[in-house]
Amino acid sequence: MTDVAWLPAAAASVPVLVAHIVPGVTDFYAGLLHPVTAVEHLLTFVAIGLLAGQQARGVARRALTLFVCVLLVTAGLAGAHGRTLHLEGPLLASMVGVGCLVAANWRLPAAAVYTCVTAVAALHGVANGAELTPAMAPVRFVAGIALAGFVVMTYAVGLARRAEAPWAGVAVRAAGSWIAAVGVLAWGAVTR
Amino acid sequence: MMHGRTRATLRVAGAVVMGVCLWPSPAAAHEPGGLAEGFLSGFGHPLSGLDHMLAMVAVGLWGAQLGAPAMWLLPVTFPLVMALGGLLGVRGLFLPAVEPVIAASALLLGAAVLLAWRPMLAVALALVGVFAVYHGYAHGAELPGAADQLAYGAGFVLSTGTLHVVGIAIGLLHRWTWGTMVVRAAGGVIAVAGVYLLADVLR
Repeated sequence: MTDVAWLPAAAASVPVLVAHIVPGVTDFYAGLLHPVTAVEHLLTFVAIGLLAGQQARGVARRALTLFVCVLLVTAGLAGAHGRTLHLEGPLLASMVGVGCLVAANWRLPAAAVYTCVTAVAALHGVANGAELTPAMAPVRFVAGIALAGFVVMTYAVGLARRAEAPWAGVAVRAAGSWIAAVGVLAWGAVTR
Repeated sequence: MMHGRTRATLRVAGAVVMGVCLWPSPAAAHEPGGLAEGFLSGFGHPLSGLDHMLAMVAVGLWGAQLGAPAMWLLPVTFPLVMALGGLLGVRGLFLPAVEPVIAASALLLGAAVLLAWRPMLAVALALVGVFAVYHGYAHGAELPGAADQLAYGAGFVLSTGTLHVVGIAIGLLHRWTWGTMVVRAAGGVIAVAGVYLLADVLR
């Protein structure tokens, strides 16, 4: 896990420099940065990773793979479909729901975890993929989105799996509760 | 020699800090101000008012003094209850006597720490819950005007949580005999400041 530890820092600093040197790579970085610079996507990815990390080891690993695959497919489909969507309400609801599950710290049945992961990945995949503009290369943009989802969720799974000390488990739960709280507030502002 | 796991944790922490430090440049380049400005105004709001800051630290102190399960119930449930109060503030619904109750919360929570008051868990949670709603309301009322509302919400939840953690960290001194007095003295300082704040509001 520590081998990818410098990726977010690199991702945050590199695109501005590289984008103009390598033609076409801009779309990849646009996809990579889109979920990471939008709070509703970033925090939900973190929350779903924490939820997976609170489960058994095998469940967490399969949930991670499932998440990235569903994200890739749905983002691709939404990008190909090319229609503007208004998903603020469902996106924030997913953030609140997953955050509350992390705060509750239940050992869920594997099927429930996979269902939850699939639903969240599909919703956020569609929302991110719909941001594709005709000028962009769809494959690069969608690949960027999937990589961002993979990196963020891997971090979160790793953190939750490492939380062995009692206080660390509480810290993971508090993080879930904080994410849900941000979702509740933003929902209030969006639906005002 | 440093334990392998500790070193790995430090590397991750270093990467996160580095990421956060590098963050504003590309974000600011894409949409001037929006995300970073919203986050910073949200993060600064609980820190800008002495009443919020002292009350949140007092919540952490009291939680640590009460011990488990209050110590971990507070940071997990507080943000959610606060967000419900924030919802009232965002929607502009009426809540009576917001400023006096917030000032009184610093006074009462400080006094609870000073006196090492140990009520039933339900009483402590209900008291802190009411104050959470009021503090959330005050922060939420500012949210609709923020540059980026989600980032504002994330900022103020994070800074409130950090204040709790600071309170709990100081409160952990409670396990030593001399520390008990330090924690109670800190509660006393907060209570005295609460008296001043309350008098200032009611003036």
